[in-house]
Amino acid sequence: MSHPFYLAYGVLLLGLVGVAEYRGLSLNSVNQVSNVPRTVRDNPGAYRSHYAFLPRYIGGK
Amino acid sequence: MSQPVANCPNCGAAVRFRFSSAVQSVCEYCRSIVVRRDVNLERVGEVADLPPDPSPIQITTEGIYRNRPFVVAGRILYEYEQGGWNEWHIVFSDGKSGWLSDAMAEYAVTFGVIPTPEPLPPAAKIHRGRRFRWYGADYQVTVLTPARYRGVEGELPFEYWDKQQVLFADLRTSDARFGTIDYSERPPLLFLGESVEFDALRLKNLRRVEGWDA
Amino acid sequence: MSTAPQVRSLNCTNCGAPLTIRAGGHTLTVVCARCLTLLDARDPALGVLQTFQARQIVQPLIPLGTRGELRGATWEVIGFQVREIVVESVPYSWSEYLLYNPFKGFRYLTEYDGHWNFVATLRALPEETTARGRQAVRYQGQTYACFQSASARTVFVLGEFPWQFRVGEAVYVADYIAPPRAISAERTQNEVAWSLGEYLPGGEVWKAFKLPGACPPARGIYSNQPSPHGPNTRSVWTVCLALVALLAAMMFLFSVGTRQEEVFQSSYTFSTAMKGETSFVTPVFELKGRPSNVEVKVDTDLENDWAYLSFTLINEQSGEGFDFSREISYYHGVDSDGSWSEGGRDDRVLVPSIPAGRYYLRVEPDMNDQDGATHSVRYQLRVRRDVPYNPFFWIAGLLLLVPPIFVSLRAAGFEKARWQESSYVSESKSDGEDE
Repeated sequence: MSHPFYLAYGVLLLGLVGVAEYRGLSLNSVNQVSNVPRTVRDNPGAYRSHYAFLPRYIGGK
Repeated sequence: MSQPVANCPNCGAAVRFRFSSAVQSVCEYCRSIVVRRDVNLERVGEVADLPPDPSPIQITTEGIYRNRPFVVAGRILYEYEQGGWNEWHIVFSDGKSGWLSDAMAEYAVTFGVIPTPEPLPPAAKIHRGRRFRWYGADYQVTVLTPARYRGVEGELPFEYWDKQQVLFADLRTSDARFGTIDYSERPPLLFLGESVEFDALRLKNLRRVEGWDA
Repeated sequence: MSTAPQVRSLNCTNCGAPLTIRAGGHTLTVVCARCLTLLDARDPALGVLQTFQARQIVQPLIPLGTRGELRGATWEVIGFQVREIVVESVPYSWSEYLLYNPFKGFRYLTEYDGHWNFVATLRALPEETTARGRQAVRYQGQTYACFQSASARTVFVLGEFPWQFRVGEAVYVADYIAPPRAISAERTQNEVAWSLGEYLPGGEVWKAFKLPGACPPARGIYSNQPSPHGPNTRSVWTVCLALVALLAAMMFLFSVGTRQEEVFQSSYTFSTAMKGETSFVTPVFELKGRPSNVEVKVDTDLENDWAYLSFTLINEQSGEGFDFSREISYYHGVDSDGSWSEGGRDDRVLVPSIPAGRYYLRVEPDMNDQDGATHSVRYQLRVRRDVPYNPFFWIAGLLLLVPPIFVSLRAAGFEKARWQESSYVSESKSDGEDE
């Protein structure tokens, strides 16, 4: 078998991609929080998202 | 095969012609060149001392070319400004003559082609690189050699001695065929054949070379 | 196995120094090492042919008379010469060793900067042709590209030779390469001689002739030196192709094997004029199967405006929440260059690795509320479970290409360095060449 290192590298890459795809990973950034109270369903305004206070993009061309 | 024996006209020693096709031979005792004229022999010249022969081939060496056994019967030695070579006269078991050329330990077997496939250009018109197409192969002139005859040995199929400066043209093909145009006669003579490896000839009865095992 | 070499002893006609002749009847020219005179070995009186001047006495790396085993035969070194070409006013010289075996004939060993070649005369003519716009020859099914052509002169000579020549004589030499082999054509007015050479590492020469010490190191890259990278290049790309094919198959499998189930869809409006709490929650929907992604698609009717949506995907039972936000903007117009557009009305995000369960989305939309005008947008939310995600495949594909590209670049670098030495002359040939 020629190029054992390259083959191992390639198989590893494919393995990683397979796992990532299977577990539904993506490159988007998501912030995980715990214990969101049930009251949010009745009062959505009480919950503050992690992203709520980030600066916004203003304006066009 | 008959082996006519006659007497050397010069010294009287027995001259044996081993090959029925041989026309000329050399008396081993007095080195006279004798030519067979029917029953009698005619002395036509004397052969000078030949330079030491580097080739392991000698007269009576046997070999095989394309499954046909042959025996080395004679030799013509040529010389030119940059070197020299041997043309060994080889005789096959059916009596046919061929030539084993031996130049710097490179070998080729050729046969005279009569008539020539086309009229050959005269010596003044032949040049290196000239091409011919004969028998389905492209021949190219690779070497032009103005040579002179240096000596003869053994039995030859024609009369050959004391020729003056003669031009030879070597021709080669892409599949190792070999040819020579011999300008010693008019019209020039053509010999065609191929390059051969020493080992392929399976030569026996070679001359022992001092310091080397075969 | 050979018996002890027999040599013929003579004396130099010019200076009386002892000479040895090893190749018996073949030798035509013998050189006296002491007075650098070429003598006619055919002549019983050993006539003087030429006395030459040398800038320096060159000692052959393989002493004359040494015997060695190469390619299944024993050879004796009987002659040595140094030849020189001039390329763009720079002289380059190399050594040639004449090898002799009375049954096999003559061979040559050439040496340049520690690179060796084992050379034999060719009996079959190569076919002259062109390849990639350059001169080339074809021999036994291989194409040899023209590497160099120049006029070569002998500048130094020792030992004995089966032909007669003079120091200073020039022949026109053309070299063609197909590493590890090379073909040379040497032309004079009346003769062309073709030869085939095979690259030999110095170590092999030293072993063959049982020479002491180490061989001189090879400097630079020689014309027909085999590339250490050559065979690798083809095979690494073959492996790459196999891996990329596997990757493509995986991509296909995932695109057909994913659930791609729409679990929720609804339309909404938002306006900065709305009073009170703008955030809201969607109804609960079920995400099934193994932990996989969740696609949230937002299709808007934005016109030269932007909207910012904060999302939280909340598991109704466990209280796990996943925060993410999207910025959507779309601007377009016409100016002196034509029509332009920036951004897009629609957006798509994949939330990674969400376990199965009952979920709902908390949405908090926002728009420009600083400039006094009222901004509004209508949008549709679509949530799908387990969709294919291609960026990983593209990234893996690129990463797979990196090693073979590296190998190819390295091999190309070697070849480039090889051809740097070439003095290839395309159209113009020096005078004296009539073909």
